[in-house]
Amino acid sequence: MIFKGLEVSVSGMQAERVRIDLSASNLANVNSTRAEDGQPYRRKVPVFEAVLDSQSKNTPIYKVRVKEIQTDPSPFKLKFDPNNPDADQNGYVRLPNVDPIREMVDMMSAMRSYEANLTAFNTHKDMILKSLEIIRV
Amino acid sequence: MFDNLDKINKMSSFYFERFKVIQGNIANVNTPFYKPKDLKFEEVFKNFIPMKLTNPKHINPAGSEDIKITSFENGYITGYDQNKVNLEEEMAKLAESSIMYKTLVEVMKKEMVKLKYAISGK
Repeated sequence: MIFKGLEVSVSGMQAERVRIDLSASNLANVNSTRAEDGQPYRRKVPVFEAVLDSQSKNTPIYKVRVKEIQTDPSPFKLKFDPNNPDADQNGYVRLPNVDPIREMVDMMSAMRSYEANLTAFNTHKDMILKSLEIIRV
Repeated sequence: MFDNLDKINKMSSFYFERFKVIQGNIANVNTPFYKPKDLKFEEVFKNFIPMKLTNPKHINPAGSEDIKITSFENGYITGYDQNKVNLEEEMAKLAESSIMYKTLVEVMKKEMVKLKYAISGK
């Protein structure tokens, strides 16, 4: 199928967008001491998976999809703030395990990968349009 | 009569297929344990450039009519997630495939013009 490559690049763009969205969500919740379970917010990370396209018989074309969204099990950060309502008896508040610098780096990396997929998408489109020129002879 | 067109057609479809495989590699640039795939085009020169035998001792290069497309994996570990895609290399291959494809389409157009000329005689 001629448009298969476009779908592949789109799957890559979608996956990278999920990464950017999760990084944004992590950054937004960098100070959230109460998530839905009463615990501080835990950092979320996507897990990607390569999926072989079943319709391509001879050529191994792999799409990508987000298999699941995992939570980072690393420990929470502790901050001494006795006046905070969420502080324990020693005066420490547990903050989310989100490192803003790491999230920014992750976002940059996802953005560049997104752009690489976009370049591949546009080139594929150009190739399809180029093949239309054959009938214009 | 359409021999040349047929050969160009086969070559261009190879580059189109290869382009799609490389697109898949780029899409999976952040997938753990992914190995980049590629296609090989072994018979291309045998089919595309018909060589003449000037000496009976020469080996006849005429291979099979169909162009063989074989896939293989390559790459090396670039990160802790065991992903082996080298993005620079893949982008270079992507550009190469698309340029080859566009060139072949141009060649095909020239062949069509020649045929048209032969048919109409003007």
